[in-house]
Amino acid sequence: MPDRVVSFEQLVLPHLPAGYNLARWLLRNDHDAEDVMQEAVVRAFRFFDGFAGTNPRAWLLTVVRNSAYTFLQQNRARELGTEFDEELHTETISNGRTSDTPEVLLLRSAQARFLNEAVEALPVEFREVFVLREMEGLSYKEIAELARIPIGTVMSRLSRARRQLQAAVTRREQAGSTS
Amino acid sequence: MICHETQRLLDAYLDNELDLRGALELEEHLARCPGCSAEEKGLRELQASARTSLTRYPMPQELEARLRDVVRAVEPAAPAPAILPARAARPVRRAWRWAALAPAAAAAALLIVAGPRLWPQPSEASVADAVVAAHVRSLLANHLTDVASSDQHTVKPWFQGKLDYSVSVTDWAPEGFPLVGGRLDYVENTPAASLVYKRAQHVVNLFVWPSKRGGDEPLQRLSRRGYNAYWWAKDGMHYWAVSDLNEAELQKFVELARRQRSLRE
Repeated sequence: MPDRVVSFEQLVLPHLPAGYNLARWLLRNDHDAEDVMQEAVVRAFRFFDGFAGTNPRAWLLTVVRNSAYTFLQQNRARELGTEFDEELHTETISNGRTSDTPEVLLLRSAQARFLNEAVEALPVEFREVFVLREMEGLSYKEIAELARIPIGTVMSRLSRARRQLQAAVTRREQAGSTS
Repeated sequence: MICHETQRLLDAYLDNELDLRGALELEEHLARCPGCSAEEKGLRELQASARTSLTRYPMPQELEARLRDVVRAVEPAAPAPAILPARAARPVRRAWRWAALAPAAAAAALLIVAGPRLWPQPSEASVADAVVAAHVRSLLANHLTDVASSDQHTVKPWFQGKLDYSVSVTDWAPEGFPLVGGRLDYVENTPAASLVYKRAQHVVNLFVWPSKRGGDEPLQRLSRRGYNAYWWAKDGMHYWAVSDLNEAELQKFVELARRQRSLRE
């Protein structure tokens, strides 16, 4: 087995699960995520000689992310470049939370259930930043490099994603309590 | 620090991205402002909830196996003579090879005349490698089918004119193996018809090409690099069914393929 294959297998392949999770969150279905992973691994392997960094995980995630965007551009372009509905976004959530009564705990478990759906409903540029931050624990700087956007944009997208999620979860809670 | 400024920096504070001085100023404001403090609490709850309850999608095992194979299949320097170059690269390669072999052509012709038995027979192992490599290549993006159709009356004529033998094509959608198309492939330097079927997310390639040896061979099974393959020979044709399907399911497919072919006689 050539050295190149061996070092690729040792450095990059252990991060396939993180790559798959990102692809799955960006594409929102198994089938497309699998196609994109295949494309991404071929690309990663082709450009592996150009990888001189110290973080193969972030590097693989970058390749997966770019492959996912290429896929979206070719197949589901309408999902790209979408903006938040500002009206939804400006809805305020700061409804003074009190102590941890059973009711509050119940609300929290409902939140957890709805949160996944709410993240899926985010525009992909915002979903991406949120998933990279909360699931992969990447820093603003790492996300900025990965998505090729300024750090200020990382911060504002993350901030808006969170406000949107809070609004969505609150809406579901309210709908649930009145029905 | 005022509320507006705090709101702007709250996320960065939460993510430990503020410098020490900024963080201290912000904390000072939070201590005095119930509104901003509630906001911070809400964001922390969201963050905690996201970290514990976002679904981490597990990678399907067969995908992982396939991705590992993809790496080995695209490696041009891989010491695997049975793995053919990608189809796009073939014409150039071939022309070059023919040119290089020209002086030996007379000798080769003599050898052919002298009798096919002198020609080394490809071993089953190398055929298996070539077939599995062809299967893996077909899974690479956009190489699965040359003619994409679930209609056997479209796929069969497509092969005519490209192959000097006829291939029977049946759609087994009712049995759970819908036909998705056909592809021209090469196995052991012989053009082979590949009929492509699906079973849920899995792809089955059925390779068909004429046997050089002739005669029938019984059904045999082997597995290579996580793929299962069944092969047999019937009436002078080789049949190889390759897939990442499990053995039992692939066997069902093989039974269909073999039954159909014997019914036709």
